Amino acid sequence: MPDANAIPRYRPRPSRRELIVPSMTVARAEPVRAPLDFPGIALVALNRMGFGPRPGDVAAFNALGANDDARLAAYVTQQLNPDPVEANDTEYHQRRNGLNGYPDPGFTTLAKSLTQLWQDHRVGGIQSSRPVEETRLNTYLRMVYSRWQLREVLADFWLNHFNIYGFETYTQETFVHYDRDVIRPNIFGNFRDMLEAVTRSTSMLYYLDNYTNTRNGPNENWARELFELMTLGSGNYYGVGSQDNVPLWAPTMLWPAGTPSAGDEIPAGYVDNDVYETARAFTGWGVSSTLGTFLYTLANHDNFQKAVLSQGQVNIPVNQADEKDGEDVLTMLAAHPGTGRHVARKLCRRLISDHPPESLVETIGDLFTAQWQAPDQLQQVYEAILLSTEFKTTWGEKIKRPVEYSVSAMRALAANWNFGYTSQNPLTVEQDTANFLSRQTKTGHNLFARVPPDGFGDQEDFWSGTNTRLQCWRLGSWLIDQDIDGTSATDDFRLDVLGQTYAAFPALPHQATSEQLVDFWIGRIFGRALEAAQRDELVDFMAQGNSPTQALLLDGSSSTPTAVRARLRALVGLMFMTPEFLLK
Amino acid sequence: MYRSTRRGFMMGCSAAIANLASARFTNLVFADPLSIPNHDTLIVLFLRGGMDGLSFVMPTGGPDRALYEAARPVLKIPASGANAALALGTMAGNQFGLHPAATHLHGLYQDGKVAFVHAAGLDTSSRSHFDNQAQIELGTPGNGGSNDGWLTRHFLTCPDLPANTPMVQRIAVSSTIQSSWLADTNVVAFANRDDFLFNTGPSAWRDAQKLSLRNILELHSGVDPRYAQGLVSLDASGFIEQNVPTLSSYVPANGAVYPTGSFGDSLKLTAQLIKLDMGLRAATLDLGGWDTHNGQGTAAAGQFFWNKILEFSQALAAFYTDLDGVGANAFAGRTTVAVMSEFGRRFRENNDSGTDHGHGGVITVMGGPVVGGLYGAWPGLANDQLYDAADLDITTDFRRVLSELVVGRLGNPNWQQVFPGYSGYTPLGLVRPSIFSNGFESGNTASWSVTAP
Repeated sequence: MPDANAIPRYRPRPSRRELIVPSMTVARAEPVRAPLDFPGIALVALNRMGFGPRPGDVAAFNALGANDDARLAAYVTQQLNPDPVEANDTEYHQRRNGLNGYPDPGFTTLAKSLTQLWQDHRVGGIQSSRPVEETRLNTYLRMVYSRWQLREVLADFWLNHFNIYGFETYTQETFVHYDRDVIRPNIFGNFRDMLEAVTRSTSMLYYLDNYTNTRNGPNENWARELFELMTLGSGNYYGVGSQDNVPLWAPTMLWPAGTPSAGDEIPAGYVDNDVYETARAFTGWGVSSTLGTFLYTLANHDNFQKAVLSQGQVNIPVNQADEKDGEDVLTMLAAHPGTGRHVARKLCRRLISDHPPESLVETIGDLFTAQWQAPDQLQQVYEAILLSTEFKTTWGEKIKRPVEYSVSAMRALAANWNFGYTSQNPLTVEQDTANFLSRQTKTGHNLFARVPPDGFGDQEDFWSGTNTRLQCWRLGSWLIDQDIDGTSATDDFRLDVLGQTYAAFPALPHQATSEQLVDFWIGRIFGRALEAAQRDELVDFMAQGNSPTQALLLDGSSSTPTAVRARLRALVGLMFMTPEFLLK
Repeated sequence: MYRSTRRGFMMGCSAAIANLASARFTNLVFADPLSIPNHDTLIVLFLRGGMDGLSFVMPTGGPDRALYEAARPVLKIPASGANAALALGTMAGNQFGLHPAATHLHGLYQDGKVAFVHAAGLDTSSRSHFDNQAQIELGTPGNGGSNDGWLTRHFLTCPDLPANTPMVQRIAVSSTIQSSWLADTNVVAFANRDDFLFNTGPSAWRDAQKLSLRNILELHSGVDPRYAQGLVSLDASGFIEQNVPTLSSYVPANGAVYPTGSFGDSLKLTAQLIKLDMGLRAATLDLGGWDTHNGQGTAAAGQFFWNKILEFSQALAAFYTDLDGVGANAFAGRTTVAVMSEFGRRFRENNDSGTDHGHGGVITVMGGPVVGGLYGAWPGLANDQLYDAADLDITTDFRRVLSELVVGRLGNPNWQQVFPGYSGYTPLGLVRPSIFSNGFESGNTASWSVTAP
């Protein structure tokens, strides 16, 4: 018999106060900025659909068509349809698997099934954080080396939208599954499918406590963040209040066929009572403690009627089939235009600008909602954003977040980086990589490291502190500095500034003027001309009192070329410190 | 033609930019410590995640005790016996006690240095972590889209600040920046002194690199926050390297012992900055981990919430002890710590030894200037006294507490500009008026406050 206590605690309650007015749509004044030159569509695409260009990427982009629109269209089509065969993503594949002379990163958990992960690392307790650690290393490998840059941008987007802190008990052991089986298969698919996969995932069931949400003891953590962060968003939150006081979505929209309230008018948003009803709908959704897989326990489910997003009218009847109550809520949330608006705003914010125009958000949100059942819904949505005028014409209204900062620095310098474990000790992350991760964490941003469920901030405000800036500078300069682990005789520096300079100025002995060196490296790092005054400062730095047109000898072991080589590396470090390098 | 474009832009906007440059953009200096007059320091500590105020300060006797015990069969703090609450005093006919792990803080309370404002917080109808944190830090309940933080506005409107801003006047002890400082380009954020150093890359060219970087940043630092923030980062790092000794060399005064871990280190660094007497007026700190939906734990040593309170209490008490010198070292007498959270938690515990999101909580104010005691209008715990029949109600707006600290201790009478839209502020009497303030403080103490036993 159901426990009577299960009902009263979450029954709808009368409101004592006015509904709050959702606040997210309040406009924020735009800051004054130094004016920015538009850098061309190639750099827009490579910096915002990816982690910045590697050498040759701009030329390859420009070869895709006869004009900017044709090039962008071709690139978008390519990036929206990544080849599912990993081996065709050649460099990533070789590095991931230790082929073609690359060191084997030594991954041991990435191919394990969920149950294997659970039994080895959770039940067995062996290296319990190894799965999330390997996922992190593999993700950096992909960000730096994969051809499918948009897929990596979007994987990062969704892993923040459906954020899980990866380094706590239960999530660390299962994170391989969350990344590989829950998020990535759905990136170019359907939002409802991804939402359902997330809801049923072991990692999320633990992270937001739904595994312990039962009819005798409801726990509303999951239900609240499901509404606030993952679907309708706090912009559609009406606070404490009665469901029948929530206004209707304007202009009027009806719940579509296939949803519990089909044909009824859609309310504009949610109140706390919707959260409580939803917590009841997900009672009994948990995890098998032996297998680590999803487990529905009927005895823990509150099977009485519920009213969700329905003006207080019962729309989830009593005694539905197993799991149907939760399924119904997910379906309503996926079909609700508020979810379309919320997700569209976040995607536009990621791909275009911190403050995307509301007209675009509405257009994209409407598409998202109209296509809510389409198997390629998300692909359609990305395409509409990426081919929009706003995408094509916006530059510098976002800055790189710290992970993007370091990955783009690595890409600009064609890094040869081993994101893996040492061959001597397979339990230990390679020393430079361990140092890199530690320095990355000090910026305030590292993969899967956001503890609260909102994910890392996507707006500049979040990253505008002096610590973030200084830690990025330190990281950039550390990357061009000497490699300390001594594992490779040919790899004296973490990023090979000298080798690439020699390749650009091949005549022996290697030499170039300060102007030549600065212009070569501006091209490599920024891919565009810099303001003359900034270029002049960089030339002055490189020349150090010499004429900017005087050739500087790079070869030799005497003090002069030794100093020039160090200064050249410092020049690249200096370029990484300029605000221009932050732009995307 | 990039340069001519910019020149035209600057000429066209010269008045607006001049205005902005004086009001909003950095003019930090390497101030001579001796030139800075005495002033207060306010420490704002945010407990992220929603701290359970009813496990921190709870009724131990009186009509609400039975309601409390009934709602919290697992989590209740005993009124007597082992692990009993530490006595605080009486309010609205109920006796109140402090969490038993907070012995250090209780000692300070008995010395009259701690005020607990109960049933306080952000009085909107939202139970969202993120909306509520943002609206408290922006100082604008109901509006998460404000252009600046409440501390930003305090410094924009505070009279009698030094003409040039000392490098360490505003500190965010954090790896990222809190929203309380939104749009403030003079705040310096750093989490750890020994990491906040410009010390990578080829060392022989580091000084030249800094010089060139400065020249590049100064090209636009007057108009573009991205350049201004870069310049502050560069200057602050150099200043702190030169003027702030390493944390490992720092010896707290009076035998103060900070708990190990990053929170204890953050407060230790803050004490170090205060004692260097270089003009620090406000610092923001965070302590996370309060979102206790699950496994909050009973009133027993080693339980999750117990450990949180222990760390919090030990760190605050060590901070006070460290600053509690005499004469020129009497820093505690001009330092106030305000502790808040985005909401209190649900009155009735859940079935997971935890509590869900609620409403009213406790704001703690600690320091030499504090008039210790229990404050607030206790709303009661009967069903019809609860907010939404579920949570402790809010009877004291967080802005009332912060306004009193701004007016009474930071010498800024412009609380209406710090908290736009707020009206009807009167002081609770939480702090004694500052001898450095301008006499705006009326100093009346609300009749329903009591002092420590």
